[in-house]
Amino acid sequence: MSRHIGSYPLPPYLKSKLLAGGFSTVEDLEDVKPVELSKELKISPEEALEVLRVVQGEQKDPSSASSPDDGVKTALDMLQEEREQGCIITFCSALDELLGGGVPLTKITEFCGAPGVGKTQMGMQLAIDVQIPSAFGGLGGEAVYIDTEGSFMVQRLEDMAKAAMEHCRHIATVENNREQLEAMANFTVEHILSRIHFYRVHDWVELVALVNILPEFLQQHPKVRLVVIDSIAFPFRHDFEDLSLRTRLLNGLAQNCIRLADSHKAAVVLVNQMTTKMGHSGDGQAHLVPALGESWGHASTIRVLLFWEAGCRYARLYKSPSREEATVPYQVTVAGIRDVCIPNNMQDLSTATKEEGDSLGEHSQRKRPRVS
Amino acid sequence: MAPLKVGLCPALTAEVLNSLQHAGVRTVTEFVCMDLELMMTRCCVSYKDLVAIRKVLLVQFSAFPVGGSSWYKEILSTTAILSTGNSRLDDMLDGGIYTGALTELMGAPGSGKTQICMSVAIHVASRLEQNVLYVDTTGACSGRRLQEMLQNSAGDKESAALSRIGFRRIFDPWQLLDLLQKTKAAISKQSELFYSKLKLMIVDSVAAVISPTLGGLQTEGHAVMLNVSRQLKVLSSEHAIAVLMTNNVVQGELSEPWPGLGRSWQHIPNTRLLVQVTGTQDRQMLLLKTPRLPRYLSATLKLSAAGILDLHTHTGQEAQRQLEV
Repeated sequence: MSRHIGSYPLPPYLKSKLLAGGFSTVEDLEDVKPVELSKELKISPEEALEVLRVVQGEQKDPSSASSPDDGVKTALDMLQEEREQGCIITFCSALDELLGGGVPLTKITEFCGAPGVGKTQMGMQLAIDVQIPSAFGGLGGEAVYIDTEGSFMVQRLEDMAKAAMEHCRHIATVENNREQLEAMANFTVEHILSRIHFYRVHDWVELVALVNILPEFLQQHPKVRLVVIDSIAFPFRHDFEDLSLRTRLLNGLAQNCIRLADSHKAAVVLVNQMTTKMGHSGDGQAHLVPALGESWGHASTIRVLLFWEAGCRYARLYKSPSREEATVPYQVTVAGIRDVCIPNNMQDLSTATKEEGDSLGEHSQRKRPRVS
Repeated sequence: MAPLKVGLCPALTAEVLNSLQHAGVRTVTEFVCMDLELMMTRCCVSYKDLVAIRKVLLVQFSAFPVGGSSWYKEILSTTAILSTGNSRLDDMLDGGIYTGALTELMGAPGSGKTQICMSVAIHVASRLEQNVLYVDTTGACSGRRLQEMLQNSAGDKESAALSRIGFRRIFDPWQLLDLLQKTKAAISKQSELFYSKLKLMIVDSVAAVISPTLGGLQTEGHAVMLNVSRQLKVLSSEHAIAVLMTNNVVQGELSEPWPGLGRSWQHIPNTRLLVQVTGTQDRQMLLLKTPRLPRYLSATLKLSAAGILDLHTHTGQEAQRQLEV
């Protein structure tokens, strides 16, 4: 059975013209020249050429078109790729463990939380951590940071970058590793800041447009391994009367994000706000749930809820295809996102992290000024 | 509909075809629907010829009847029931996932749809030793998790089972249509070993690719959705493949769970299961639509390191259960 015209990505008006002209399957268009087609259907030659290019494109090479190599790989290949990929660590080993090594590449990870719980801090921390040189087991990548709320503060980023740099220098001097010491030359605060590409977006139109042109930018900057959108909720939470349009836009945005993540081997981190839902389980009580509605929940591959309890910050893994649900504590210090207590298995990284956490202990209880 | 061509029937010569085309009759449909006398006056072809051509075309293009008993025999020989690896779920589905039918899992975010899909894929690949094509539209399928499930259930046959699972990531409905077309072509060609033993296709999730095109003033999205559903049905029934897909839930009028993608999609799957969270690891399955069993059967599954597989009993020992009379 040959393929119907309706199943090709062509504009609707061209499809209806084709159908009216008796061209309904690929077969009908097989030996048609562009000029003939344009005369026949009274469309411009460019349009006719486009139609034939789309429809006949893959027909040219039927041998490769139907082979399984064409995009279909086995689960074994996929496992291999995943093993080689690596993750972006958060500098909080409990959180890394929760996520299975850190924020994974090629997936969408969503952080949801109330104001002041450290969502933006998390985004900034990841934007720095993605740059950790490969000599330290990092990714040595770059980051794209899309700020929709205006909460990105470069002074704060500088603090965190300094802490990350000192942490790495400490490791390099303790281990006296030549490679690591050399890598430090390119891991200074200026370098870190210059490798974060920052966008300030003011409304949803700008955001949708930006996500659509981002693939081009990533092609020019192939080292980008992280895209942060902080926050996805803000532009969509007000001034939106047409809710079905909102759902459609968000669904489209999610598909664009995952396509971006997959084709550029990047991690996409979305920051989401919380909203109140009444009578969720029939007890008439209000609950805090992630904003943007139920259907948005399908957008992210991994969903982490950040919340306060008894003066401590916790992260709960809410949805993940590969890890079990769990809750771990974390804290936000001057240096950034850190562990709360000493983990039992003392690794170099976590010890050093701990030392820093201690020296900055007096600040750790203090939250950043809240913007509510 | 097919265009008119020389060779469709003896009376349809190049000369006749030319004059027909001149009169604006290009496709079989147009020919069959047009008044013969009108056509005779317009094309100067004899009435007798036209009647003959029409008769042949009608016979060629009409469906032909099949006797109930031979149809039944054919069903018995072609249909396979793929066990899901969980005996309770199999009971709910009257044996397992049927080839030639579409089975849909619907559930809220984080309810375990992807886990069930991955677990079924592992079971079919490792125990039943059939090939699986896994279409991932949300980037949710994880190779590590597949490996974990395999290690916790099958043990040593690891890499063989994983290479039986074909994997493809796609992000828009056009790519899905493309893939379905190519899969059909590859199965008919019978040259690729992978496709000749393909028994299960998983689309996780079908809603993610279709829903961005739905709604608004455009009717295009709707057409695309029905196109996808038709291609899935053709693939499953013509090539005896079981299709397992996942869908979102939306709230119905009485805030009951309702399948996403709107009313016309509701008719598409042959079997529909609702997945609901009842505990950290417990998932309740509710049968909402089925051609074989009473509705609203339910069962509780446990999501573990081995997926939804039965840990104590392995019901899927037989390679593939054929329907019994």
